[in-house]
Amino acid sequence: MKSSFRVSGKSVVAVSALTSAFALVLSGLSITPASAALGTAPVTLTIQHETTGDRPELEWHAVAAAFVKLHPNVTIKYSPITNEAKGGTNLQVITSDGTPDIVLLPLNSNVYTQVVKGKGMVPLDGIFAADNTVKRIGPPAAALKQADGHYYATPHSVVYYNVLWTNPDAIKKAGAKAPANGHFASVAQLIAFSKACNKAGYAGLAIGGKTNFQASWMFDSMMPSAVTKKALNNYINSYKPDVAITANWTDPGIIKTLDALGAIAKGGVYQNGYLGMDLDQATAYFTAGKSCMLLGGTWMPGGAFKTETDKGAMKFTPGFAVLPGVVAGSKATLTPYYGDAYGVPVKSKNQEWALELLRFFISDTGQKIGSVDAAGNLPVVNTVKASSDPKVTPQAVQDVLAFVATDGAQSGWTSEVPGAYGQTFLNPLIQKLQEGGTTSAAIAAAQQAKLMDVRKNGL
Amino acid sequence: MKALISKFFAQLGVWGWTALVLVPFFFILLFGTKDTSDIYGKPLSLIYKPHFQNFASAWNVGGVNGAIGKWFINTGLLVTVALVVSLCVAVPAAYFTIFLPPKANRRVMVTVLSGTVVPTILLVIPYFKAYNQYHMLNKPIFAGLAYGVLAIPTTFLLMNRFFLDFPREVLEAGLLDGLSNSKIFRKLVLPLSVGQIVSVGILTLIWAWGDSQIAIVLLQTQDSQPISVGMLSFAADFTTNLGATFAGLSMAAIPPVILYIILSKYVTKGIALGGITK
Amino acid sequence: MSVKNESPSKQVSTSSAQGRNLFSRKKKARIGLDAINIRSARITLIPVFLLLFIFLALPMFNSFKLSFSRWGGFGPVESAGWTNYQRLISDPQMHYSSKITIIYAFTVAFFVVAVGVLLAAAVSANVRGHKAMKIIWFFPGIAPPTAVAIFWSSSFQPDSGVVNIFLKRIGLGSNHALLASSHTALFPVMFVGIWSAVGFAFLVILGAVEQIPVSLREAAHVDGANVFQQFTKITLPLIRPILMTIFTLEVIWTFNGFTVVWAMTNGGPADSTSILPILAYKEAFRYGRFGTAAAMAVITGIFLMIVGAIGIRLSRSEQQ
Repeated sequence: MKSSFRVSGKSVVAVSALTSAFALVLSGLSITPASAALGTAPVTLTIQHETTGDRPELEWHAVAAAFVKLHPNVTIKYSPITNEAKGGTNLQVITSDGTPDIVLLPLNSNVYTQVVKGKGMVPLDGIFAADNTVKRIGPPAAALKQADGHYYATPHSVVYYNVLWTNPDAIKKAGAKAPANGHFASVAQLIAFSKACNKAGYAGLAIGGKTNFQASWMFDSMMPSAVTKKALNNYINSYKPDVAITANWTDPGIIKTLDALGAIAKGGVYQNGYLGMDLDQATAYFTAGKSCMLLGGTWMPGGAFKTETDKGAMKFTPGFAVLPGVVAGSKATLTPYYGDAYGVPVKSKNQEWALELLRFFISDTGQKIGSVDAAGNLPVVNTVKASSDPKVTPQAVQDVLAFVATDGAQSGWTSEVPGAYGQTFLNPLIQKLQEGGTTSAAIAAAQQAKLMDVRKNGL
Repeated sequence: MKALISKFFAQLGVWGWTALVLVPFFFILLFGTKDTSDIYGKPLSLIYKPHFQNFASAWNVGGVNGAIGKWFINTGLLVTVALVVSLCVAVPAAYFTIFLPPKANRRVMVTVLSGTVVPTILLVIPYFKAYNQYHMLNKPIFAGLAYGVLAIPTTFLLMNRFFLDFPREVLEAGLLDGLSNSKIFRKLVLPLSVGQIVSVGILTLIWAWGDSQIAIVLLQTQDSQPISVGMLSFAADFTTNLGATFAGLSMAAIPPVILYIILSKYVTKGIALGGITK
Repeated sequence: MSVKNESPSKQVSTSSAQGRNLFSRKKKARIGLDAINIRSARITLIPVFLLLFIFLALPMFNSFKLSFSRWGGFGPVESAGWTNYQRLISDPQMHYSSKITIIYAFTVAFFVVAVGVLLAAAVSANVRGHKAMKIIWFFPGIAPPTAVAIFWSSSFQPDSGVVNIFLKRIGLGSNHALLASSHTALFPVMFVGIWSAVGFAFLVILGAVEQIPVSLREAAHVDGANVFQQFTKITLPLIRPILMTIFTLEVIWTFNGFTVVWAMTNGGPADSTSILPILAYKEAFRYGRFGTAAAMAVITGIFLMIVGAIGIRLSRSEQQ
């Protein structure tokens, strides 16, 4: 994800329901009907989607319904997969006979690295060539092109993570000082804020410390504040043997970032027992009103928050804040993620139909029906805009988008590089650091050694 | 007096342990029928409005209608295959082996026995590779085959012990009546061994029902998983809804416990049999 | 997962005696019956050995082979020589995991046997309600380990967990997050391991205790020994071989134990409860390093076989 990637807040707000309906019709026409070539024999497609967060499910259900209307011979089945499995054992599912026809491929996971390396996916070149897709997706599409010149996965929406959702009621009661929809000024301010929350009986920041990603999220947000743009770019690309190393992991910026993460944990910012909770539990903790903040992302207001509010369990309207920068005067960042992509495995028995559905999925029509209207997500293509209707895109999300439009967002290191080198490697180390089980210097040294190992031996 | 005191402490100890054993089952049932907010609000209260909706939520865990039902079916298939394989292969062999000369019998026993100390972790990766290669992944029936084979050593050894003590007079009477050796086995021996076969079978059943280490590797897709693995992979899904979690737990835990209570005579015997030191 | 294996080593401990018995008894009966059945024995043993070869011997060999290669779970297998082993030898996580696996296995096995003995002693002394208790105590062994582990891990959650609710009631506060700290997470896991395994050990030990002739104990009673003395002086020495055996087995099963730990902690926090089977599973199925995982499995396997061999030796020599 290059830093040039932005979502324009203005245009988000500007798009009316009418124009989007018009776009829908237009893009519907732009799709060449392929049913003649594919035949009308009954076929059942199985789609894999993640279980948590509700969003991918809503998105697929809506797109599938529209697709089935166009092709009545198609039946759609779903195969849910857990967050834990999508970056690990899913490799075995994808490469087995029982694979779903459309599978979830987190781009920063070892699954994606291995399955592309082993030629286990069907090239999606047709999809990217059709409907102006490369241009519509923009820079992320260029990053998707593999060394062999093929595309194997298509993103479907953009989310921003590292959003600190706030509970204004709790903050007010605690008399804590929080930036209104903005940055914490320093790590010290964040710690002082949490202490005030603690005094009033709330935890400062709820995180799912048990997950294999949340610790490294914070790293993604804070690290860009301590290194130059050029260095960040090098950290993201230097695992490739043909890119020269210009930034080392043992450089002061990284050490300072890790020190800050250690200080935050030590300063009692997180909830009691955070290392034993996953993100779902942390979310429940926050929505139940037990913490001032939650480390989350833009999929939450329309997902878990909405569910809990409907149930009456969540009794406040969340605001948001952004983590502090590592050094005084610097700013941490929100992080865009478009990495939960989809692809078609070579083992799929209905490849033609799967490709057709996937193409429909990221067509403007599909993006509008699924990503925008059904899931309230931010579409990955620049020809469709997020809805400005708060019923579709919750106000909290629109606020974040407006913030991103003025403040920008930086690529997150762990969502850019392959997991075996990035997230799955670094996250346990940060968990250890949070407990005082290791030092920043030791982590930096380990990550540097890993870098040399990956450059030499591959992933 | 001293005896009385020790008796008192013994009584106290067993009651304490019994409570410790029963408490989780009590809470699984209690929370399984309580609304989540009641679990947080008045966890120990016995007067509450039953919230059977939990069972429906649990039944459709992960957003799939009847997910748990499917897992039960998978578990059923897996366990059935495991039982059929282990009993059909091991029981006849265990019977006929008693007629081998003692030295040969012993050699067979030791060989089979060595099969029981192989750590599972040494097996799962090759299993995964082979199952993947022969397109047997994600099929509960084939996973059941692995469980069945791994249960053969125990089944064989326990049945062999039993047959060694089988009254010879019965067999000889059969022989005198002109029955063939396979008929003696089927018509005379098997009917008299039902109790033992049931108790050995239950041991296999309990193990195959609860194990997750092999199933988590061989059954990767959600709709092929047995209840043990399914619960595991969707534990996170449950955690936000405590009531449903406990409803799910009770659905997984109560059936085997009830089955055990009904058949407890055999289970206890089967286990004690392993410990006989005549 | 443990129930399957329960009897065999007891079998070992008894098979020699049994073999002798058999031999003397058989002398008379050996006439026609054995001769005609030997062929059937050979035929019926073929599938047993064939299946055991395919499902045990071959995979073990394959694991061994894989431990010298590099494989990402998909695609071709590359040869790697000793690099996997070299990596493990210098890996601090491997050292840590080996250490806690041994601590975990021996602690759990010790308490399982100790509690099992106490319960068996109480039941053989006919405490009240022992008939029902005999049945109830095995409940934890019957319920699927996954369900048991999920229940307990939710119980150890701060504030909302049953354990914390209980601690709050007795005035100890409700914010104990034992599973969330790498310094304490192993304790709840050990507790659950013990809790679920005692029932089985108890039944085996009780089986052994009940084999002791009543006359022996009555004789002791006449000699003026009380219940406690009877137990320590007569019963314990007589069941020592069984205790040795069940202890060895519990060590092996706990060492092998995957489900309880995985379901409670996934090996965390920060890998503090990653016992060897968990470490190997993660290495293979999460990080896609099947070669290193196989090397871990081989090391675990060798260790377990040594433990098994020593245990069997001990229980046997005790018996003689």
